[in-house]
Amino acid sequence: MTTDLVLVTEAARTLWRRFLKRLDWSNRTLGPDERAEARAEAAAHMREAMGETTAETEAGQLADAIAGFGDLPAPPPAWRQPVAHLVHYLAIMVIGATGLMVLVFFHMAVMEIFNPDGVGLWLYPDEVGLTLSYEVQPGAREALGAAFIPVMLLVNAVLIAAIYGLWRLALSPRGPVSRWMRP
Amino acid sequence: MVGKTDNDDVLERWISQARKGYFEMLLLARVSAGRAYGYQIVASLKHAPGFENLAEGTVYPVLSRMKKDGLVTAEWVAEETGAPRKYYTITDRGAAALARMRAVWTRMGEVLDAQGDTA
Repeated sequence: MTTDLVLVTEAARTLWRRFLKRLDWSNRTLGPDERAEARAEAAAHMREAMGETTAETEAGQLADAIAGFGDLPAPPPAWRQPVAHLVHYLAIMVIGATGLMVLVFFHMAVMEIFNPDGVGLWLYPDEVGLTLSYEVQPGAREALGAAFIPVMLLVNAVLIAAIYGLWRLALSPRGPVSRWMRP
Repeated sequence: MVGKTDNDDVLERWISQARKGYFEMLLLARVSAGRAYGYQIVASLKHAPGFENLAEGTVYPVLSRMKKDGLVTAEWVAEETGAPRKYYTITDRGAAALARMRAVWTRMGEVLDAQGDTA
């Protein structure tokens, strides 16, 4: 007793292969035995349904039977899950590093109150080199002065918003990346 | 003011929810009428009012769940044509569940009618 759907034409076989991929994807939470059972039952269903369509070709009959069976979701492209894992762990690293920067910038903003001459953004004469420092930089001039504190707080606000956005995108269990990581 | 489209959405959602429970009861009722294979069950359900456009594939996961719950049994039978069919048969547990479902459904109808009487 065969539970496979025996098809003669290549066009029908291609249709059937595509359908089985979608069926397996719909049943991905089931065990291998249950998935095989669902395939066998779908094959039995198609055999009956194909006998009742008016289409003239085998592929046409199968297409009608599949249409009657209902829409099954297509499996995602094979690259999506590994890319999602990569983005997920990259986001952890970026969020960790950005979080450290936020802490440093906040600390510098506070230290600006106690050491306004040393702490700041220092600009070198070529006006290309910039450095954030807790100490006076020889040959450089301080760029922001007292505005250093609000600028650092503003930069921190932007960075925190970016961290939150990245978390929503790549780490939140409800975010797209977490969804794509699931099998 | 709620527009017609909004009302349609609300009704569609309600019908979808109501049909889920009803669908299971209907399936069990079909199997209780006599041993039947998947496509046979699908074909008879498609004659039921409101299920004309039934996506046939939705029947099988429900039958599978009923089998797991012990409401029906299933067995593959090789037909004379050589094509096997999977036949479903209701169990004692399934028959008892169907009787309870029918009672609950009838009771809900009575409660609804009583609400209409008091309005």
